[in-house]
Amino acid sequence: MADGGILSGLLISLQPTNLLACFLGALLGTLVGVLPGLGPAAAMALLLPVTAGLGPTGGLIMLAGIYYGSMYGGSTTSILVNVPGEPASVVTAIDGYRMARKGRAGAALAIAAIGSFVAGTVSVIALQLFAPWVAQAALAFGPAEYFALTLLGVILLSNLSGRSGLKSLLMVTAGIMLSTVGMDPLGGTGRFTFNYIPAQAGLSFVAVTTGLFGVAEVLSLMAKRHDQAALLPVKFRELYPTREELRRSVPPILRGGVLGFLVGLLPGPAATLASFVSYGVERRLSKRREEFGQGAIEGVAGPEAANNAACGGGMVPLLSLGLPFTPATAVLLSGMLLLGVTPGPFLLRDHPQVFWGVIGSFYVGNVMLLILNLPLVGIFARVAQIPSNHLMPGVLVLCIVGAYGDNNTLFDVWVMLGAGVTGYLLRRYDFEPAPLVLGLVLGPIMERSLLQALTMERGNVSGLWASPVSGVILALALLAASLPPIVRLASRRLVRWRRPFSQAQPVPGANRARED
Amino acid sequence: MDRSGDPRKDSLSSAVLLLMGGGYLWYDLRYPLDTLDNPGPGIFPLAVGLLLVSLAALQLARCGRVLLARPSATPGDPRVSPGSPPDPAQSEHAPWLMVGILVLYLLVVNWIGFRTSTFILVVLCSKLMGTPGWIRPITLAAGLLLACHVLFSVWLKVPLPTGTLMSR
Repeated sequence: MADGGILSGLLISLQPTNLLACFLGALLGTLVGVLPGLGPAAAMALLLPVTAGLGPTGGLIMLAGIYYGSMYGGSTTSILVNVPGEPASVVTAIDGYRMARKGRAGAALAIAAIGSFVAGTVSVIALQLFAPWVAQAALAFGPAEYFALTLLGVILLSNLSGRSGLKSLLMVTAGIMLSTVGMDPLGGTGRFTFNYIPAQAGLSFVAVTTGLFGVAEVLSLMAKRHDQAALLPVKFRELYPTREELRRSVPPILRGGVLGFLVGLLPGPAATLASFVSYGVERRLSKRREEFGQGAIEGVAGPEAANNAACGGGMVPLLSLGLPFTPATAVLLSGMLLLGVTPGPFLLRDHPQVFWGVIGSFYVGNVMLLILNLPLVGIFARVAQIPSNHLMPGVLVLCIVGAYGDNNTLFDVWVMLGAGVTGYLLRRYDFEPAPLVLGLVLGPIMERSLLQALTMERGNVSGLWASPVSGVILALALLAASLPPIVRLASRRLVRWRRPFSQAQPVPGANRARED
Repeated sequence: MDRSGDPRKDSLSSAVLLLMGGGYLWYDLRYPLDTLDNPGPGIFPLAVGLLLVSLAALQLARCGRVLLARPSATPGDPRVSPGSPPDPAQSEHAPWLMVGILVLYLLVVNWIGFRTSTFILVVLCSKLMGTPGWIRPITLAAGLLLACHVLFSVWLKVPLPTGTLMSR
């Protein structure tokens, strides 16, 4: 049963313990999605010790459930309260809240849930087809290919994350820098430990993540008090979209599913990016463009489908290459290692029950989320109204126990506190903490593969791009690094070139180009 | 594409990162670099430190250029607001007070134990977040400790510090 295939995966995920893990993950994920601030990465990191009690398959099913469950929950508060629980649901609030104000909250919620379900299923089918294929191809990958992949990931990440590419790159580099604390991956020499023994194991990923996201959120909320948002009521009998609304939602859901999966393969905030891209595409393709921003159902269906499908896409590099490209998949990687499972090309060979069990649980979890989200939507929306002064002390205690429980040492709690203060300052100085987390995870993979490749090639640097695969990936990395500055320079030149003409005659859009 | 925030904030953060990168590079000097065919433990941190310093310097230079290009602010300028009252909804001191409480918590947790110290921490955190009265914070702390005990001590067997004072 455990040897592979989606049928065995479904059977594994339907075992009582795994079914319970899936339900708990989906439920907690929805709650996390509903609550603004606490993202899936922080929630998963907080609950890592809990998953240890469920075994590798159950633990990973629960963590994955939190990940995709949060995408479902994010839409509820976007539509009913106009407060997106997740960055990926920001775009849903534009038309979703307008629909709610017009008395169509139930229809918007139903379409969001159905869209998430359909796109989630599309992305699992694609994941099921893609991941084994990529894993098979990755068996031929050596250190040079892995180094090239991580380098491409880091560059794409800094191009796609946040508002400033340079700031994101600074954060990734700072994360890689932090990853060098502890033993060096080849020789075992202790580095940057200041001769402090507990630091030899390096900075705990759980401590850093809980600090950067959880503690920083608590500190940020202390600095500003939020007004409670008004909740728009929704009744169960209103949860039926009209035939016209359903008809209009089908193409955006299908497009969002495919688009979201493809965007999910990229490093960075894939779910957020996917929802924004989908909104843009739907607006461009729609015959009712003027309705966008006023309560267009396509503006809810497309983005909600896309952000769910992006979760499936993000699982492909994690499961088949062992490379996490989003903070949530980075926590999943950490959870896998904690549970004694090494992700990557050998996962399918060594732990087929885990691989197929997790994929199977995506199907089961999506059905659970659809059932959970439609009738219980009112309860989830009320969760968003729990005052932060009741919620955040609990988050703080979970952060402390989560960090302590990783290695049972107070050093990790000090690391968590340091990361919390850093995360709070990063928010205040407009830096994104997510690239730092990914730098921390990708750093050791990058260092190990670079040093191994150099040793294997006897110090010959050209060996890094000698194979066709690594050569192509490095060329892509070079293109990704050089394209944004070239485009920026070209657009500046264009504006300068246009200026004499605009002085004579106003050119529409010139000011916008300058701002961009 | 590259839309940064306040150049003053950015220049300060870049300067901090530059100093951090410099310190990291200086500390890395104690690790051997060896050769490319047998790379030592210091080689990768050297590359990372150099990259961090270069990127921070670039960001600092960009901010400096923006700040220099700006016309100097006049007293009537809305950007100059030395005496502007702080936003009443914001409490600048609360997060730092919480950090201080957490430092104290970490210093005493091994001494008075997880339960007592966490109880006090939750009550203080709840008060700092604006919970009125004492009954709610105390009830919240008791409830949280009970949940922690069941989840972490009983189910997951996490050996939370009992405290040297309590074990005497």
